[in-house]
Amino acid sequence: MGDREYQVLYFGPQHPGAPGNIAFKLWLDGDRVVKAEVIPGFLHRGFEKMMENRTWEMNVTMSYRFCVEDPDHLEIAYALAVEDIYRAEIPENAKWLRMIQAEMGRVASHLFWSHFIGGSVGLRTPAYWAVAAREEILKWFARISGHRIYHNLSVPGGIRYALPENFKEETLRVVNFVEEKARDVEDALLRNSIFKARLRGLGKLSGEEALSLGVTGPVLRASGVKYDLRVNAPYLNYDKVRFEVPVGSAGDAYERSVVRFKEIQQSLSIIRQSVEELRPGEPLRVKLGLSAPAGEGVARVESARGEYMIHIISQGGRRPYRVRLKSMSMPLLTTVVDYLISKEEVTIADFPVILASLDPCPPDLDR
Amino acid sequence: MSILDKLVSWARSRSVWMIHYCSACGAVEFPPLVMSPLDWERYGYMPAPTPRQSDLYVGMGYLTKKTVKLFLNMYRQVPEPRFVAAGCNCTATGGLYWDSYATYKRLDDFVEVEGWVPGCMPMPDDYFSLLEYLRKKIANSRIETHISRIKPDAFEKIARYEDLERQWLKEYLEKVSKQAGEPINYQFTPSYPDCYEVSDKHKICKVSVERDRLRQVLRELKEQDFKLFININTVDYPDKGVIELYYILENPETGEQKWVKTFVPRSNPLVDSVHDIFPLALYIEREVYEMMGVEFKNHPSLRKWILEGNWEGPPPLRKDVDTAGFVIKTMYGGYRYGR
Repeated sequence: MGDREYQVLYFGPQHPGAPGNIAFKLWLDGDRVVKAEVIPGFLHRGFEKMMENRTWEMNVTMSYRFCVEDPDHLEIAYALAVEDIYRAEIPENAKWLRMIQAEMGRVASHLFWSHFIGGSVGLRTPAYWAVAAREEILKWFARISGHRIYHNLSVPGGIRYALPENFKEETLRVVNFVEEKARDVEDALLRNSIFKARLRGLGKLSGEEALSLGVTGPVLRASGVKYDLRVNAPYLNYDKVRFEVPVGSAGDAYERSVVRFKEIQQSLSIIRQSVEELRPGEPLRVKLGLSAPAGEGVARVESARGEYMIHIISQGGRRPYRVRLKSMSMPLLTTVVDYLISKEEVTIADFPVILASLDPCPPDLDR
Repeated sequence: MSILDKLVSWARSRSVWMIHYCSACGAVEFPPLVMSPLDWERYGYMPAPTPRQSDLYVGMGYLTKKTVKLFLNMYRQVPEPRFVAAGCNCTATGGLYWDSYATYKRLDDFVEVEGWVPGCMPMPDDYFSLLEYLRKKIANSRIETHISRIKPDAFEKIARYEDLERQWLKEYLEKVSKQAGEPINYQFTPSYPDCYEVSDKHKICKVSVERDRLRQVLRELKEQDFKLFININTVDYPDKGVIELYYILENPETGEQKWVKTFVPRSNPLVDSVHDIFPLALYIEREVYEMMGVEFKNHPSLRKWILEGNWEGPPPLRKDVDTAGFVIKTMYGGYRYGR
C-alpha cells in the first residue's frame, strides 16, 4: 500500500475519541479507513522486569497497576498465583470477600465503559449518571480498603483488612443504588434511537472469527460463544453461586453493549449471594512466610475485558524469578481492529465507536 | 495593576481550558472531577480537544519516555499564557516506578511546573484544590510572571539518555558475541503427545517439543479444538544458556489449556513464526522479540513496537540485563537513595 494514494492521519494519543494514551496511524480513502496500525508504548513501564526486582509483598502494589479501570481482578490473580506457589489454602471468608471485590470491580469497569461509549456517540447525559453510580462503588472501596482506585485489598494469604462495621448493610445499599442507576443508564442508552442507529451492525464479529483472532470476554460472548472462566474453569467460590452467563448472537457493537449491561446485573446478583455467605468475625487471612518455596504459580481469572493470566516462576527466596502477565486488550487493539477494517466499511466517525465498543485498556497492552 | 489588567486576569482565571490528554493512570480520577459529582465547568474549566485552544496541561502520573517527547512537541503548539501542573507522585519523584527503564522521573526536568498534586492516586478533591490554587494565582498576579516554559536543555537531556542506552546496547552485543561459543547445559526431553506435567486445579496440561516440530504440533492442537491462542511466555536461563518458550493454547469449550514448551539456545535464539496459524501471534511474537530478543523466522514485520521511543538498550527482560542498575547509574548518579 503506497502512502501516496491514501491520506495518512494520526489518530491519538491526544484525541478525545482515543481509548486512552494510545495512537493509531490511519490510512484514509475519503472518510473511509482502509488500514489502521496501532502505535503502543506511551504507557510502557516494564512491569515484568520491575516485579523481578521486588519482594513478594512489595509486588502486591505492582501487580494491578497496568489496568487502571479494572485493577481488582489483576490483584486477585496475583494473590492466587502466589498462594499457588506457597501451596496455601485461604479461609472461606476471604474467598467470598474476594468475589465481592472482583464483581464490584467488574461493575465499576462496565459503568466506566458506558461513559466512554456514551461520549463516543455524543450521549453525555447517561454518562454522567454512570460516573455517579461508579462513584458510590469507589466510596464503598474507600470505606473497606482506604483507597478509591487501587485497593491493596487482596494480598497473598487472604484479605488485608478486617471488615468495617455494617459491612453487609452498606454493601447491599450500594448494590441497590447501583442496580437502579445501571438500569437508568441502560434504558437511556439501549433504547435511544441514535444509539441503535449508530451501533447496530457496526463492528460485526462471528463466534468463529472472534476465536481465531484470540478474543475472550464480553466481546467473545456477544458473538454467541458461551465461554466464561467463572463457569468453565472456576476459581474462588464461583462454582457455589448461581448466575447466568449473558450471551449475544449478532456480535455487533450494540450486542456488546447489551451483554455488558446484563453482566452488571449478574455481578450484582453474585455480590448479593456472596454477602450472605460472609461470616463476620471469622479470620480473613493466613500468614505466609517471607521466602517462597521454589515452584510455579498460575492464576487464570475472568476480568472485565476477558481472560487474564499470570504465570510466576519462583526459584525460592524473597523475589520471583520471572513474572509473565497476559494482556487482555492485546487482541482487541490489534487483530480485531485489523480484521474489522479489512472486512467492513469503517468511516473515521465510526472508528472511535468501534474502539469504545470493544472496551480496550491501553496500559495493559503496554504493561 | 490597572483596573483593566485586573479584569483581564479575573476573566483569565475563570476560563482555563485543559488539554484533553489522558497521559497516565491519574486520569481515571478526572471523570468524577469533570462530571458528577464535582463538575468543574462551574469554574470555567473545560477539556479542550486541541492544544491550540488550551491553557493548561496536567501531567497525570508516570512519564514514559515516549509520552514526554510527545508532550513537549504538543506543548510547543499551545499559545501563551500556558501552564503545566503535575498530578500524582510519579511526576515528582518517579514514584513507584523509580527503577523503571522506560520512564523519566521528574516533570520539572523538562518544563517549569506551576502546581503539584501529591498522592497515588490523588483524590478528585485534591485536583480540585490545585484548580483553586491556579485560579487564585492567575487572578492575583501579572500573567508574565508565570508562564511555564520548556527548559532550554530538555531535548539535550533526552538525547543524552538515548545515547547512553545505545552505548549499552553496543556493549551488550559485544558481550553476547563473545559468549556465543559456550556450550549449553540443559536437559530437554520432548514429551508430545503426552503431558509431562498436569494441573487439575487450573486445567493445564504441559507438553514439550523441539523447536523444529513446533509449527506442526501447534497446527495439530488447533485441529483438536485448542483454537484460542492466549500468550507466549518466555523464561531466560543464562546459566543454562537457553531461553524457554511456552505457547499457551486454550479450548474454548472446556476451558482446558495446553502449554507447549520448547527452547532456543541463547547464542542462536531463532524459532519459526506461527502467525499464519494464529493471527494474534503476529503481535505477541513482536513483543517477545523486543523484550526478550528471540527472533522469529518468516515474521513479516519483526521490529520494535512497544519499546520504540522508550528504550534503545538491550532486550530488557533478559536476566543478565540489569535495568535497575542502569537507571541508578544514569538517573540518580550511581546512588540508589539519591532520589
